[in-house]
Amino acid sequence: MNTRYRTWVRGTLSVIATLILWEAIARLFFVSAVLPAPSAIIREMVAYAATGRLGFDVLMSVQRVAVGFFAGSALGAVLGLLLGSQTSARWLLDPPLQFFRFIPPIAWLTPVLIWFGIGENGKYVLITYTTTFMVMINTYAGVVAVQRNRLRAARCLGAGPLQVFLYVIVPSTMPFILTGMQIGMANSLQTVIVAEMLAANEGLGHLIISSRVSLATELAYVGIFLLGVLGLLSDTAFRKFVAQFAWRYRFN
Amino acid sequence: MASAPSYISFRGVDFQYTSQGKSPTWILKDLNLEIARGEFYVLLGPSGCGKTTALTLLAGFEHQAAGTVSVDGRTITKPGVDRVVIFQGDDSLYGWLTAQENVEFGLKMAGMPASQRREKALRQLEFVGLKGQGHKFPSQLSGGMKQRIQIARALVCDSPILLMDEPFAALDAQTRAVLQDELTAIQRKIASTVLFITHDIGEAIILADRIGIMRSGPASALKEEITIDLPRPRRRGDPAFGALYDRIHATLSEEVDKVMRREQAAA
Amino acid sequence: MTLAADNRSGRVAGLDQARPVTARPWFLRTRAALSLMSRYTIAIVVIAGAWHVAAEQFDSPILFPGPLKTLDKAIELVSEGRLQGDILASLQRILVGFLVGSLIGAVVGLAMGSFRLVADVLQPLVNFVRFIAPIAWIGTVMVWFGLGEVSKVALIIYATVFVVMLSAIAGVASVHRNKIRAAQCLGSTPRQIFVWVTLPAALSFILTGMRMAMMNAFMTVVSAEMIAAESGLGYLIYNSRQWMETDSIFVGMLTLGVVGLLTDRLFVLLTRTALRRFSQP
Repeated sequence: MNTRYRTWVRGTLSVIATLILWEAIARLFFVSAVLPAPSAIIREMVAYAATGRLGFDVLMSVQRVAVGFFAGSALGAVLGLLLGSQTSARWLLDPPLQFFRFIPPIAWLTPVLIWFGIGENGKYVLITYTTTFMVMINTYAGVVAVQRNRLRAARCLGAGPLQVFLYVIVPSTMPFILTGMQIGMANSLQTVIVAEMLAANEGLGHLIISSRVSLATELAYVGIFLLGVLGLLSDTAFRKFVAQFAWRYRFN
Repeated sequence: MASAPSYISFRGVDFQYTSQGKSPTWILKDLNLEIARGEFYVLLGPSGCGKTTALTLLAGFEHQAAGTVSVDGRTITKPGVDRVVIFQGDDSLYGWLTAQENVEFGLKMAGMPASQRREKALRQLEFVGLKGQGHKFPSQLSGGMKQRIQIARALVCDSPILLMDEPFAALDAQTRAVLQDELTAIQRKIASTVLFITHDIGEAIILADRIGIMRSGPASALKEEITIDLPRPRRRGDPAFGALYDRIHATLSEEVDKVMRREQAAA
Repeated sequence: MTLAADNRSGRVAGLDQARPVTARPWFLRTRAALSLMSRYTIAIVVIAGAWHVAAEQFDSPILFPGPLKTLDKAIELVSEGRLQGDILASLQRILVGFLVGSLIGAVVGLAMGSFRLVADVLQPLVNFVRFIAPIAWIGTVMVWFGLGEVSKVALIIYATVFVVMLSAIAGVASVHRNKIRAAQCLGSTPRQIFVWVTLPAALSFILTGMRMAMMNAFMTVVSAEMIAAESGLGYLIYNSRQWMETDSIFVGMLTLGVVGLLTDRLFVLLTRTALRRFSQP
């Protein structure tokens, strides 16, 4: 399409113009410690990647998020489905859940550090909690939102309670679970960065904060850039996955 | 109707629609249509035949690939207050404005002072049977009342032409019948020209001075025109009504059958 | 943190649930008129009871203080004036950053939604930058804006802008075509359509976006205060670790929940009263 081509051209020009402008401003007006130029950042990225440290940092962050994401999604979906379909549990647990959602997951970092120490386990627990909570609350909302006539139709057609749960409630809730997972992933990335800034010796968060302390501003920007890449890639990958394998469970 | 002085005219109108990644389809091909001043003209046709497209071209929302659409000799290029559309459903109403503010909308755009606007809107609300309802929001009103707001919103601008795109299709049968009668009365009183789109044969016979039946799409055009000279108010129980209904139904069925055969062949 | 939003109705998944009134467990079905108040009271009592029992079992007030010890600590912190001070510090940062960020986000989002050129130019930049966690910029903002309040506010603006921006874009896209067409029929100029149709129609989306952005702002302010501040609830939570004051940590976290919940309710209350008419598309 003509408009699609135009969008692509404008977008590309916009990115190039931004980079050139940034490069010019950085070189003309600022020292590298305040605003490093894109070229300096790229140079730093190549040099640091050559030492092998960069790959290690990225890998550690990815590993932490991945473990928490998969464990948390599974746990959150199961808890959300159970909670949503049990009226008594819902009646009792809804108020505290509504309360807990206003405590950012990162606030749990301190108790987690006290209970689990500074090792990997604590970080896994924290990321798992982040994802679990987000997936659970979305799943739970999804179960509550299942159209009544879908349930009634299934009962008319002879489905028992377990069958209604498996063949109507679970698939009807899928779009909500997937949304919860997508948001959970984004939140996990935020949580892991803070956790790494405060209590780790590796990972992108650690890279960003330690470069600041050692005034290696270019390196901090390398970390920030890779964080954006990671966020964009994981989000795109998730969307592609849903479009490929779970398209029938998307909203509308 | 070559004899009557033409007010609205479609001459040789082609319209094609291109959806992304597909080859373009002709919606209308060589549509010719003449409507006289003060006439109530109903376009009837199977779904997807392009009757709404014809209205959209006259409203000035879209542009034809070939041919001309004109009102009183002036070619249509953009939407205007002389041809206000009454849409199906309530999506065109402004949910954040009260009924009265919705009616005032066109006057406000024209820069009319508030007090004058208010007076005209109140009079118009009373005219369409919404006296005392002006302070309510559309969400607080029934479907029939919402369509009355749309009608009032058009009439208050003194629009000489009303373009009605299946305005009563989403209403229940009783409300629809009441609004059909009231629309007839309103149109007699203010002598506006109406282009009315519907797929309901009974509605067409109740309302129309003349009915245009469209061919099934793609590349649709007018198949047949029927002048309705039944006396008003028209009653559905009337034998003449029944005869007309059967005749139009037979014509339309041919077109619907064509669509179904084509769909089966495609499947 | 962000939430799934059903933007058409302005509802946030999980935040506003359709709660079936009749669906009560068997032991309460007879008291059909049991009020929401008592439901919350029962929930609090049960949770606090479970917490108390768990703490007794664990038997380590330093590692896992019970509700009573936490309450004691809360009273102590209030009487010292520390808790109020920290709440105020956090809220102040959030309020300024949230308002400025919402304004920028709404304006840019409306422009992106309305003008093809603006969208084409900004889309690729926004689509990259919005994936960077706000807290990653903490070093950068401190270099640019110093160690004071401006840096934290800048981070909160960043945390707010993109959420509101995306909602505003979605809001403009959601305006029903017939609303625009009706306005064209009724003689509106493009500018009038923007002011009288697009803007009010997109407002409910922007407000929903702001509500989600508020949670993001809370998350960011806590992170920033944990890493680099001398006040605020995040500082209270993180700094208490030094002295192993787990009870202070719990007080901080619970306060965070209460303040967040109240802020959200207040926002909903304000928008539902002052901007009620814009809740309908």
